[in-house]
Amino acid sequence: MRPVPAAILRRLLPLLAGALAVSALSCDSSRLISGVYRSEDSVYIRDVAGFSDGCWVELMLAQFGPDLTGIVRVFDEDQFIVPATGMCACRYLEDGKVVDQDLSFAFRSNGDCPGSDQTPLVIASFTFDKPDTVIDGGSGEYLTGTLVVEGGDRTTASTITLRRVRAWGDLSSDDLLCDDPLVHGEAASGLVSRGTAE
Amino acid sequence: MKLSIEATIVMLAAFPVLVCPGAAFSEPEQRSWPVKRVVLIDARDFRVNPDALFVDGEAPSEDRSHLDAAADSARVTLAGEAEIEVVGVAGTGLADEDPDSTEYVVRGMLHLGIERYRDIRLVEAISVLEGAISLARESYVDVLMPALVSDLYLFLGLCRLETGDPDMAHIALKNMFLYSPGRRFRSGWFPQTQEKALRAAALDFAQSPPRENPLDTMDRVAGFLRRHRVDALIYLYLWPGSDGSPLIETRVFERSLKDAETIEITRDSRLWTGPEAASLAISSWLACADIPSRTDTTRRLPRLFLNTGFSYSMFAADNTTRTGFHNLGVAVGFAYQIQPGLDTFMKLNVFRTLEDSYGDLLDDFWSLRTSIGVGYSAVFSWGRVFTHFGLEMNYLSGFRSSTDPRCKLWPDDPDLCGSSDVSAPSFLFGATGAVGVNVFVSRSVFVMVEVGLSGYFVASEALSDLNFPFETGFGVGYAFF
Repeated sequence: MRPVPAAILRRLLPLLAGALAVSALSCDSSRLISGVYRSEDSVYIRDVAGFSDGCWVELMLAQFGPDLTGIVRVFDEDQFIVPATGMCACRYLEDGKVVDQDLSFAFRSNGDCPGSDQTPLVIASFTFDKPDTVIDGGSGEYLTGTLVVEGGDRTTASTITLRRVRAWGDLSSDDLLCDDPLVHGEAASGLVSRGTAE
Repeated sequence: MKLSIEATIVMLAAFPVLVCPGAAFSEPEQRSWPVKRVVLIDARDFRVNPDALFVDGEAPSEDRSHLDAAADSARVTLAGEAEIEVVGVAGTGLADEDPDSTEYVVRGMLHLGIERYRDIRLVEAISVLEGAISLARESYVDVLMPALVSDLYLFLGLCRLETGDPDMAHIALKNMFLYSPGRRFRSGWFPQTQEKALRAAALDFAQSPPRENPLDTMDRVAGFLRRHRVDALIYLYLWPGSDGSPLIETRVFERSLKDAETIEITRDSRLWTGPEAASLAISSWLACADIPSRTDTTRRLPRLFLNTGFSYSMFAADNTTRTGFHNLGVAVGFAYQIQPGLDTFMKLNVFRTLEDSYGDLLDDFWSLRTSIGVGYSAVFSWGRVFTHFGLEMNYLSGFRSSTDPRCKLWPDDPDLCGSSDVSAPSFLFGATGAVGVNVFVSRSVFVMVEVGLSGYFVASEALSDLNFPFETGFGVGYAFF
């Protein structure tokens, strides 16, 4: 057999290896927003029971490309230890969407826990600040936007800022737990709008 | 000047010889067909009689008439074979009248050694003679000019005797007989001590089995054949058999067709009945010799190709994920050339999925893909080009996918992710096609690149979910002949 010159092979092999390495790398922008965010200040949502006096909101967001899901937790104090009283402390996100760095989702206000399908939705609309926007020496990763009750006026709603306190990789299994009566309890039947089968 | 008719005829007849003196030793006519180049070196008669070593009066020159007749008979037989080209000693280039040739250098060293011996400068003589022997062996003068080397050993032996080294003298004198066994000496020419040593060496030589290799070692034979660009060396010698009857031994040293560095020996031993015995021995060898027309010159191409490598695959039709998902894996396969242009193949791939960018694939999983079929292929000296068509089975281990983000985060929570939200085909059956190339990097080792596309027509779940995987792979392989 007439072998191919080794010099040609020496040139081809690195090219092949490089092409494979590039193809194996994946861009992680589809997970950019994922993580746990906490409000910087007490959050007020007009016309929503439990939020009228202000409370502290924690978002556990999981981004999958253009889709967003997660959990909204509400606390009575800024240490995010004592769950809010007089309302459901934990809700699942619904219809979460991400376009570039803008995200929107909804969750049931559930001012009358265990709740019902009559509970109005709270519509969230946030923008993810780029990581290079460092504020107060924090992580520099913030969500800024509004929380407005279904049918409310977004233009007059106060701006809310949430800071990412844990990245996606730092989440534990506890972060994924949510005893939402709307989902797991008696009121679960038919309330949640899920994605459809492929 | 007026020439007679007879003188004119004589001059015309002599013209070619006078004008072209080298014609008698020129290279044989170039033939248009493949030939085996053979060199026939001087025959030797090892029937040494120590009692007849010394003769009264002038020592006669060695009687080589019977050896020359045997060589001529062998040469005629060889010449009768159209695919054999006999290369004489002259044809090797060593007999050219070149004063710078090694032969002349060796001859000069012999004369110098003799002068030093006569001047009783024995150490210098030994040094010169040993140097000459070494040079003669390096340049194969010992094979082509054995009488010259015999003289070297004679005087080396005489010097050793003078320096009081009878053992080394004995070895040298015995070697003298090896190169020129028929030489005789004038009685009384040498002192008694030297005559005794010569007779002892002759007796030892006569009682020892002859060396069948004129070059001593196979390495030297290979070197000789390579240097003089010949395929075989033929060596004839006479020696007394066990019952005293003379035997003619024929040894043919030839390069192996499989490996040019390997030397094969053909031996023939028969009763010496005269020069025709040499012809019979050569005919016997020719009957089975690997002459070109009997050699399988068909280019042998590999039949079985075994390869291993890495593969990449992606489904062209993928309704389970929105961005598609990558598969990286390893592959092993073989192809067997049923006949030129047609082969059969079998291939096994094991893939591991990579997470898709939207995370629609709920779990990474393994897949086992195997295909079998036939193909069209062309095998060249540099490699092989092929196209394969066959059937394929793809088993997906634990495939689950969903576009519902809740199923991605809580895939096992039935309240959040219904089973209808997950599709999970596990078996896919269909056809496959591929093209590829193997490029040899050595005689049997090759690198392989292959691309292919498959289509499935049977699946354990909705067929439209996953279909038409394309695949590319590269690797290395080994070709069996």
